[in-house]
Amino acid sequence: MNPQSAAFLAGPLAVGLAAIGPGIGICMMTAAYFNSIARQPEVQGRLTAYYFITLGVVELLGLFGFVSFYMLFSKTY
Amino acid sequence: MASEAVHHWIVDLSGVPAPFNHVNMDTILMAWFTMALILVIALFIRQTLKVYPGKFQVFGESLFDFCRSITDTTAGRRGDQFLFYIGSLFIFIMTANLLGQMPLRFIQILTHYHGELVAPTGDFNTTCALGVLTLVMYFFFGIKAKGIKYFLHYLHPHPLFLPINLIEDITRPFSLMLRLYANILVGEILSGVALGIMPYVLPVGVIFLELFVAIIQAYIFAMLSSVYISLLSADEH
Repeated sequence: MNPQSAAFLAGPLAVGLAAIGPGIGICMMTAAYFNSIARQPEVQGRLTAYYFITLGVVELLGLFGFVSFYMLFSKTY
Repeated sequence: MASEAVHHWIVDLSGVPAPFNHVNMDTILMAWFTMALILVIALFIRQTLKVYPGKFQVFGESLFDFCRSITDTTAGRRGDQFLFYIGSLFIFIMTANLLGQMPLRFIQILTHYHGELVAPTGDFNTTCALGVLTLVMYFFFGIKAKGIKYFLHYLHPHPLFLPINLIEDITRPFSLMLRLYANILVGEILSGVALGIMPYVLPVGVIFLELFVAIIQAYIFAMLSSVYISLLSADEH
């Protein structure tokens, strides 16, 4: 296997594997967010700000995978 | 297509020393266009100020209130001293992200650059500058609030935590920078791919998603900057 075809395999694999963790994380976070709003609807305004902050923090891990994909592909082309 | 969105229009500047002689002209054009647009709108709103507000004044005041709610949820009344930074950060990033969704292809008629003018925040250099600016700002407000005692927070839970606290100063701006850059770049590539699959239909859905992402990312960037500044300029409990 030459390095170029290895990079072609590794790029999509990096995106897919990096998406697993943030997927689980965002699922758990959103479930907790909806549960707490269903239990106490009046906290929605305060929770939304913290929800989006945490969304940004969790989502970053998935984007690391994308950036490694992008770097691999810009090297191979 | 997909690769068009990420190819920059690079201009060679002769007579400038080596690392600085290549310039991403599309990013610079879009950043200046964004700043000019914000300046014109702000000056226009300032002209219309009255005691009984018109619709432009209501728009400006609601934008100001939104920026103030960002600093208010993180720092309370103390947040008013860095409201100028958080507000301009939010408005600049939001305008830049939204301008990236416009189909600005006219530039390829005038020049040899074949591609679309994307958002300036879709370039690594712009977001790097914004991240470093946040680093400078939280150093500035931390030292302003605590004086030389600001540097004691590196030893805060225990002196053994010194390397972790030092690394945190690098990872904070780096994560801010990478989050904004990667989100906008993913949007541009995704709309390019959607254009390739089904023109005129599929990009509409992607662009609606991107309008949402543009505002959310500007909010997250401003919110996290505000959290860092308020965290590091707060008094010890």
